[in-house]
Amino acid sequence: MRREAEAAAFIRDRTLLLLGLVAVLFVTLWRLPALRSSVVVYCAHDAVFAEEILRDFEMRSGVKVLVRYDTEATKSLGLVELLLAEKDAPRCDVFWNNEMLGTADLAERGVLAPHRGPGWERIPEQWKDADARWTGFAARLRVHIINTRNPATDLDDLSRGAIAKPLYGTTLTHYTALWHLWGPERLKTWHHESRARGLREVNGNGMVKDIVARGARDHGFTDTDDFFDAKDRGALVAMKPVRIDGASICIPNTVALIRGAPHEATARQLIDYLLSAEAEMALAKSKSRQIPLGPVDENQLPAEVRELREWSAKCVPLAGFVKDRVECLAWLKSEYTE
Amino acid sequence: MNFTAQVALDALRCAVLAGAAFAIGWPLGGGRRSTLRTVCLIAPLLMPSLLISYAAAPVTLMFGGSMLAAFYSVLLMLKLAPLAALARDCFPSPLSAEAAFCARLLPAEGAAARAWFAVRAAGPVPWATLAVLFLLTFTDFELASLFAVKTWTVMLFDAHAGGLDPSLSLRRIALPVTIQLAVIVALLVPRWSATSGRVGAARGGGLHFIIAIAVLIAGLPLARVAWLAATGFAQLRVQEVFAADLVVSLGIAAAAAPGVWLLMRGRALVALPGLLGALVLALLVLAFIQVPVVRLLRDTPLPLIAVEMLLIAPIAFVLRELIRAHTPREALHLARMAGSRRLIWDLALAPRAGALALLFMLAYFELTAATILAPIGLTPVFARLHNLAHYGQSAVLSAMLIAATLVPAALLALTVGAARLYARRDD
Repeated sequence: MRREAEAAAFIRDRTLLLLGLVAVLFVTLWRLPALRSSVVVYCAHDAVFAEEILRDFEMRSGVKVLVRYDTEATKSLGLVELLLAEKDAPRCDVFWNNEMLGTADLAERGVLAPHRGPGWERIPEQWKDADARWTGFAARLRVHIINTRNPATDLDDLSRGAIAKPLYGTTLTHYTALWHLWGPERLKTWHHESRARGLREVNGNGMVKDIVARGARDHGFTDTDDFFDAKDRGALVAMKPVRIDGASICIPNTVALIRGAPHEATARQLIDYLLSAEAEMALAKSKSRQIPLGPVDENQLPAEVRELREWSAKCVPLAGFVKDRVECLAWLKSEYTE
Repeated sequence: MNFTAQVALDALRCAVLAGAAFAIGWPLGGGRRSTLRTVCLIAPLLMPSLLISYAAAPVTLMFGGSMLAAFYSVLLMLKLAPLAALARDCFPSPLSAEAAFCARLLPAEGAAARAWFAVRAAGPVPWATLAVLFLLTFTDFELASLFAVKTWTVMLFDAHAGGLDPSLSLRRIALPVTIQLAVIVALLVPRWSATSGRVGAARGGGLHFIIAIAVLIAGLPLARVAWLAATGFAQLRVQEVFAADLVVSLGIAAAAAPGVWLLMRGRALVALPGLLGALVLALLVLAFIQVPVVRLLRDTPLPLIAVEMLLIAPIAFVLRELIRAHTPREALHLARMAGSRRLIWDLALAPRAGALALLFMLAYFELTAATILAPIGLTPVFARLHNLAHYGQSAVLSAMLIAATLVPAALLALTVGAARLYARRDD
């Protein structure tokens, strides 16, 4: 009797597993046509801003865009790991990164393919790869966000400041710029002293913005899009560009064609759209107020973006900092994880 | 502090946290069952980390450093404490009233014997509960990351910034895996045997404490987020993408929970890979599915379902062992012979349903592997919500968060309720 019960359980279990597999197979077959006819984008930019631009491209081109976004919790680690893992047989066609040095690093690792389209042509030299493996567009600036309720805020008083963990994103770019311009020793000293003096380290730029907007800290290092988000919500905040030796840190989005992209033609079409004046203008007019890097109609730009454009006129030449980023990241990893 | 020291510190911290969660939760178990009590016990366990951190933002933004770490620890401990009460509810002490009476008659000088008797008499349930509590606190990544608290899981994640060779990943997690393995093996050492289970004799209770924990961990966060969401619910109707993401997450969890339950039958080794943690396991599987022969799997949900199964497998293993040791086989056999659906439900199916519900929720809320392995075009709902949460709080996001939390809870309640109703129809 016990054997019969066990045999019945065995058959039941296998039947259930088989049904599960059939369900998965059904879902896969149902999705295959969409996968074949779509262009696949790995997007590190926030969905709230990217979605609108990509849907606009869909409307114009009739090409379906499938997007994989990243999260604040996994930073851009997931997408970069994916691109590296899939290097020999990519599924992704276009990588839209929200910063530049990570993309340049992927180019060095052979993940990206060149694309010299009309979009690439309209972007100034300083914001694109000479071999056309990536191109920058729609930039943000690193800024001090300042709570204006305390008129005596002193940006040098780091005990009242906040910064994101510098292992990721634009804070890593900020550190890389300091690594290059100050030299490793000065940056290391500043890093250790700032923590000793009470600079609060948090998870991301969004949290820096929230901390300052709520008055828990007087000032912090963040990006312009985060500042505008706080301002639009009515927070009493102001901003000043972060400057190193008089130059601001301007961090563009970057877009790149993946080497061996399954849908190369539509991928090129999408890249040209993202690098177009229309897309840059849309991002400038969005809540994130991103700075167009190519020529656009100045009169149509919001006043705030025109001011940002002036601040970004003299900025740190990030394009040549890929090696510094690798070295700086190696040091940071030793600081945080060993 | 280096990684090894952090792992050791976290092991100690989590042992204390698990002990505290047990000390708070266990006495609350075994009380008179009621719907209010059950809801209050389950609610904290079902609260996603994102919702808790989202609601706790006014507190977490104001404090940093050790204050924040202490707040995180207390929240995590209180979130998990009801698990101990539920374990006591589901698996009452095997000690009969007569044996308990005899134990009290032991002479005073036999303190050691009395203590040993108490340990043996407790059966495997308290130990298994402690083990589950330890595993859940020790492997927490999401809440620690959202609170910006330094733990070994966060350090491991940071070590992967810019990429890390898989062999280095594995070497790094050797110690935490060993610790988890030791906890599970320690559970297996005592020879658990099936007992008849004494139902309803314990004198636990403390409904007011249970309600207090539920209010703190579930009620307040839900109320705050619902308040923020006041104008956002209407817009949910047009969020088709969100609805699709919700279905994806439900589907993956619905496949993973029963899948691992079936797979665990007599295969303890299946529990081992899950000890690697979501990040390392997901990256290993990601590398594996690039191999030409299995590359077709990349566009299917199978790799993600498989990893979710493996990730919940250690907990599934402990739960299976617990249920196996506590299933009164003779009574169940008689119930089957009598064809009593109600008895079969009470003796065998109800604990399994509870275990499956817990596994379902663990798979549903898992974030790291879901972000890395989800097939293109199938986005798990919490991956999207984490992305949207970057820009702070809004009415629509708050409404999404509430829906993403309550929809699976409601589905589970309906499913278990329907099964229970069916079982009781033969009364």
